[in-house]
Formats: sequence, C-alpha cells, structure tokens
Amino acid sequence: MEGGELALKIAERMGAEHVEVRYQRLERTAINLKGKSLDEVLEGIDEGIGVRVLVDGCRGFSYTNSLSEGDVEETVKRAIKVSKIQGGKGDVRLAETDLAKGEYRFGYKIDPREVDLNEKVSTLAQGIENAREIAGDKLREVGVNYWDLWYKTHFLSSDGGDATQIGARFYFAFQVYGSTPSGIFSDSERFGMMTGIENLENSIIEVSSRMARRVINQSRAEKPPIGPVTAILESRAAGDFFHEIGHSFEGDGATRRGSTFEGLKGKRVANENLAIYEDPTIPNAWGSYFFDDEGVKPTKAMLVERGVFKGYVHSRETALKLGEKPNGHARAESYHVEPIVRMGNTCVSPGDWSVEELIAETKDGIYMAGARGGSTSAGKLGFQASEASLIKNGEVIKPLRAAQVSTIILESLPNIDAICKEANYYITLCGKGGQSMAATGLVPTLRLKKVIIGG
Amino acid sequence: METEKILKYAEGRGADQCEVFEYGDKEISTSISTDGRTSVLSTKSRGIGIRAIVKGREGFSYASNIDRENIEKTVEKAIKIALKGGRKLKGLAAPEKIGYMSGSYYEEVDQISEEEIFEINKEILDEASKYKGIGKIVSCSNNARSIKWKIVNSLGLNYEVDETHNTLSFSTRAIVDNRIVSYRDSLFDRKLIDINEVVSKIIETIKYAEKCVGERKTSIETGEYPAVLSPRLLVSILGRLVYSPITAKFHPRIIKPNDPIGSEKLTIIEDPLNPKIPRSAPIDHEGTPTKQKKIIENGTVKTLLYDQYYAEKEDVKSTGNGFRTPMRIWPKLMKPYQALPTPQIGSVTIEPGKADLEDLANQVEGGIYMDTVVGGGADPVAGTFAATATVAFRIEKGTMTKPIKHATITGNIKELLNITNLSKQQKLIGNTIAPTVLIPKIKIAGEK
Repeated sequence: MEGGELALKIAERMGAEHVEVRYQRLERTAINLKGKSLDEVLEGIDEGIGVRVLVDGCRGFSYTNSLSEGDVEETVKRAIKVSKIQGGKGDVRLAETDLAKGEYRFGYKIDPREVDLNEKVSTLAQGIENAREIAGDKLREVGVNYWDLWYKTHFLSSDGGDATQIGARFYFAFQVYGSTPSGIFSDSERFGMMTGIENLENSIIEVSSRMARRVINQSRAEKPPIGPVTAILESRAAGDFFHEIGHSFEGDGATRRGSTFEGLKGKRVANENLAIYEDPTIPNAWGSYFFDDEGVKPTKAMLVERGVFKGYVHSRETALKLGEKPNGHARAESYHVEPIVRMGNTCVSPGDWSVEELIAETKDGIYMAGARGGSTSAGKLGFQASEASLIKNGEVIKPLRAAQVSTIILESLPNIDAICKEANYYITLCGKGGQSMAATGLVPTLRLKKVIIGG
Repeated sequence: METEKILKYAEGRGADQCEVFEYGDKEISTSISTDGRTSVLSTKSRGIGIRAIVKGREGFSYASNIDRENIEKTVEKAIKIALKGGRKLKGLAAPEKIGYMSGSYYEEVDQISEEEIFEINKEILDEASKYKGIGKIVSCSNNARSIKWKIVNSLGLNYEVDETHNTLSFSTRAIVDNRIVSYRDSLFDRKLIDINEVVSKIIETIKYAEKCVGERKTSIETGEYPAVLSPRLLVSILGRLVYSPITAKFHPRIIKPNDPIGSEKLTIIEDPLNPKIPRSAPIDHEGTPTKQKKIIENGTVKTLLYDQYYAEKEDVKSTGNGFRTPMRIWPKLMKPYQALPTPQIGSVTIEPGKADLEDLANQVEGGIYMDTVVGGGADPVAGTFAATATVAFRIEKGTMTKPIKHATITGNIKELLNITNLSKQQKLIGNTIAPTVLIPKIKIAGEK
C-alpha cells in the first residue's frame, strides 16, 4: 500500500495497541447539464491515508494527502499524540472478529475513467431530450447533475486486516420544473449504481422517463389533505421511511441513554408480519461493500424478526459494548474521516399482498410514491414523498402533490398492517455526523394505518 | 511548484488564461462525553484547483498530491476539458481594491496544541457538569481550524487569506420518567471562545431541555395557528426557499430584484467583513472583492448573487459570491480546491427587531412556538415548505406552555415570511445571524 505499511510500522513502534490504516484513491468526474447548456465540468484525483490508533483505550485519528515518507510519519505521530493526551483511561475495546484479506472487485465493464467526457455529456443530453419529448409543455426546465467515481481502498490493521476493494459507481439526479395552471413546481429524481458506466445510458432513459411521467401527473395534481391519514407507501417511499427508522438501529446511538429501542431487545415492537434486516452483501447494490472501514466483512443482521426487536448494526466497538456480534457496519465517507456506524442496504422481508389488493382493501387513504429524502431525531422521522394519490373506497381517484410524511417511530411500526411482495431500490446518500454515505432501502410497498401528512 | 510557475506552464501548454487556487488547512478536534468517551483528531490537508481558459472555454481540474508532476497533469487536464468544450467563459477576475477585514485570523487558534484544545474541552465539561438538575451536559466538542488559501491568476490577481475558526458544540439532555429531550447547540468565533461564555451557554441550553421535557406532551389539532419561529427554523426556511433561488445560478428565475418576498419587517444583509460569521472574507474564492450589501430590504429583493461566470453571462458585475463549496458530488467531504466557484450566499445578518423574546409570545393568544424540525421538504420554485417538529410548544394566553407531541409545519413563502415582529436577541445559525420571529398564521398538521 502507498504509505500504508510504513504507517503501520511506525505506529506499532510507537506503542499503539491497535492500528488501522486506510489508503484511498478517488478519481472522479462531475458534470452539470442545464437544458442544452453545460454548467459545470470537473475532473480530479484525491488520494491519501487515514490513520486510526488505539493507545490505552483511547483513540487517535489523523490523515494526510501527502504520501511522502516524512508526511506519513508526521501523520502517524499526530494520531498517536492525540490518543495519548486523553489520559490513558479510555474504554474503547474492540470485539474480536475475522478481518478481510485479499483483493475484492465490484464487477464493472466500462471504467468511467476510460470514457470520453463528451460521450458522457451526450448520454446525459439524451435523458434531457427524452424527458422533454415525454412531458412536452408540462416540463418547463430540466437539468441533470452527474458524477462518476473510480475508487480503490486498501485497509491494513495491526491485527491482520489486509484487504483491497476496487470499484466504480455513478450517480445522477434530474432536476425539473413543471407547469401547473396555477404556477410552477420543482421535482427531482436520483439514481445511482455500483457499476461502471455500461449501465448509464439505459438508466438515464429509464429515470428521465419516470421523471417526465411524474411531471405530467404532478401538473394536474391537487394539494394533499393535511393531518392524520392511512397511507400506502410505494416501495421507494417505504425505502426512505425504513432508512430513517434504520438510524435507530445503529449501535453507536444505542450505547447512549434514551435511544429509541432502549430496553426493548427481545420485545415486540411491530406486528408479526414485519422483519427488518441489514444486508451490505447484496451483489453490486448501491449500499454494498466487501468489507467495512474497520476491515470487517459485513454479514446480514436481523434487526426485527416476526415483529420482535433483535439487535443493532455495529462497529467492533459498539458490538462489544452491547454484547452483540460485529456485523461490519463501521463506514467512513473517505480517508479524511473516522468510520462511524452506518447502514448499507436496509431491507424489509416481502409479504403476500399485491399492490392492487392493497389499494382495493383501503377505504380511505393516500398512496405515496417516490422519495426525496428525510431525517430523524428524537424518535421522530419526517420525509417527503415525491407524489401521492387519493384513495377512496379501494380506488385511486386523483393525483395529489408531493407531501411531507411524519411519524413517531415506535408508534408507527405496529401500524404497519400489510406488506406487498415486491420491492424496488431506494437510493440515497445518507448524512450522519457530517459524512454522507451510499445506502439503499429495499422495502416492499406497505400500508401504515396512521401517519401525519403535511402539505 | 510556485503558483507563478504554474501560470507560465499553463500558458505554455496553450491556456489563454489560468487561475490557481491553493488551499491548506489544519484542524484539531476533540470530543468528550460525560460517560467517559473521548475522541481527538488532528489533521492537515492541502491541494490545488486549476482553472484554464482556452478560446473562450473553461476547464477545471484539481489534485490533492501537489508534486510537480501531478500539478502539470492537472493543468493539462484542465486545458483538455476546456478544449473539449467546457462552459463558455471569456475571462477571469481582474485585480481590484479589496475591503479591509480584521479579526479573521488569530495566532492563538492557529498555534494551539492538541493538548490545549483537549484541556479546554475538559474544563468546559467539568464546569458544566457542576449544574444540578434533571438536565445535564452529555458531551462537548472543541474544534480549532486554521485555513490558508491563495488565489492567483494570469491577470495579475494575487491574494492570500488566512482564517481561523474555533467552534464549540455541545449536547444536553433532560430526562423525566420515560420522557427524554436532547438539545444541541454551538458557538463560533475566530479567536478562542471564552470558557465562561461556553459554560453559561451550556447551562442555558440544559435549562431549555428541562423546560422541553418538564411537562407531559400535548397533542395539537390540525389547523391554522399564529406561530413564533426560532432562529434555527427561520434559517432553515430561508436556506430552502431564498438562499438558493436568490443566486444567479438558479433557474427558472423565480426571485428577481424588486420582487416583494416577505413583510416589510424583513431585511437581510450580506455582511462579508464580519468575522463573527463563518464564510466571511474580503474576497470570494475567485478573487472578487466582497462588500456589505442588502439582499432583501423591507421585504423587497435588492440584488441577485453572482460569481464571475454568471456575471459574464448576464453582462453584469460579479457581486463577490463565487464560493467553492462542493455541493452535489460524493464523497461530500471535499475541500474547496476540489470545486469550481459557483454563486452562493456568504455571511448573512437578518436585521433584528426591538421585542424581547417573551414579548413575541405575549402577542399570541393561542398558537405555537416551533424550534427544531426534521425531514424538511421544500419546493423553492413553488415556494412551499413542510417539516416535522421535534421541539415545539403550545402558546396559551401569551405564555409558552406544554411541549407538543407531534406536529408538522406546512406553508408557503408568503405565509412563512409574513413576519410581524422580530426579537432583538439574535443567534448564529450556520452562516446567518438571525432573530426569533412572529408570523400571524401557519398551517399545522396535528394528530387530530
């Protein structure tokens, strides 16, 4: 590793009881296209190492983007220094676990670095053109923000971790403005894949078509009612909903007093039909990885099974603190930061309803689809569905505008009374502790007996 | 490689103009919890962003590794992007006289050691822990950062800026029976923040958390209510509905100069030479001088915000709002040298009113006070905003009473900025100093 072995040796020589070194190289392109006008293009390379040490139960962290021997040595010394100034009475201990070894590659056919910039711009322009063709005069303006990334991470640790993961991913978000008789509105649709850009063209067409169809619907939509309602959350909206709930299953929060599921382990928190799990091993999913940023290979973690709360997702530290097994959920956005406990792919097991049956069995309610992201705090969550429809007597009767959904987590889980068979990926770049992380929700369409809808 | 040599190298490789943005930072951050957890980091980073103009087209590239070979490759990449048809830009910022700004750099922050930052943090936590009540301090973080950046271009522009930042963030909690309220806050300054000031702010926050948890929560019926909005919520609304649409980059242009946007009580000033607000600097990130300006005066939009590119496009002058904050790329923890300048709002002050905080509630017979929210959804084009309250109170007969269990605020820009009164007390939220405000009517989605 570029500077990694050196950093490991220096830290061990200086008395660190545990050392982790993460080397990363991030090569990216970003393009912002507004209509036919190229608004922003950049390419660049970011490379460096992050060093985390443990001395007498206290952690220290530092990073550098200069890989000269002198700068690597200074970085390690800084990490050791800041661990020592804490007085040596820390309680950080790490659970024993198997660490990843070897090289892992996410499959990709076309390396984004090898594709000409103009070719990428032209593919994005196809999406813009496609959206215009479908939505016609309902679409006032359309733009797309795009980035791709090729990355390599090499993890080394003093307890035997030595693994590399190499991958490519791309992400884009359409931003549109649509017309209604009374004015204009904005909307967006994002998409990402953990592959090379062999899938870019197809996904650009698919997502721009979905976006354009929604613009047509939203252009004739009415304002939603506000207050408590029964809601059917379409798969992607349900993915966002469970992603926000998923934060309450993160082990770092659970080590603090007052966490949402405190004292509920082994107890019923939902109906028997609900099973929630975390699985970062799904091949090439947006939130997948071969090993986390502590070098731990992730495993599928059951969070709720048959309605009973089973456990959390963990770093090595929180697993030991809470007496559970590490499951590889310590993730860092880049070498600039320490890993924190994060979700990867948050999933809900399928039920046996079809969407049509669910709508037919709903007397009064709102069908909410798509998601623009949300957040959670203090056991409450809020997110925005991209569009909605009014259901009366088992039929969808008219489109409604995008709406804010809010619930209290522990009150909402028992309110889920029906789960469908099929799920789509909800793609997000989740924010926590100042870091953003690729994560997904894979949750079937489901019904909540009560949520609060804002306009 | 010196910046002047980079410019020459770029010109030698075919660039008509070139700009070099050099950036370096140093950060020490400590965090201590009352349960004994500590964490400390100490980091340094640097990098370079190169913008080249060739035949009226712009190319940009960056590198974190700034040895000669990498810099040359970065220059070549920027030129290549320009030649492939980067966005149209005739010229970079020419040198101009810049405003005087003092108080943005303090050696005491730049030179502070890891030990000193940790000891200050520990002392704050120890002092705040002496408070006895149902509320307590949970954790405190102390962050010292120094930043040095330099902008040089072929037109002779050559500026260097040194900044220091000290940010104290803390988390408090109050617990009664099974009811728990957590409340976080922070203080910012360019110099080291006085320990006593932090401790008294923490105790004030603990008392507020105690008030939030002190009574059983009440539900609220769906309806329209007069509302007092905290500075935090006001800034969140402005951030979603005004700060982005008021930049020249935002299309369609829904906000234009002379448009009425709020009540006559609302005046928003960009105050780039006030070092007490983050992002203040005498120049923007492409070397255009910044200056104090009213963005919204008595509810009317006075100006849009421009960088060099958008100013050239519309044949106006840049307003000094070209900042390099990577907005849409992942990983997000990118440094300013990794982004092109785009028009963004800088450091902002919302003119305060004359009322005391209590006076605002006194004017409300039956209404709500909204402080913090989650999941804010906004449509800046339609001017709508909705968010779920995490801390909100009922106001009954002019007094804040019970905390509200579950409520969602929903409204449009006209309702939300129809401010009828503002407090004289202000608070720094992000890059805005804001008062608490009273609005006569807002929709609340409640549990009934």
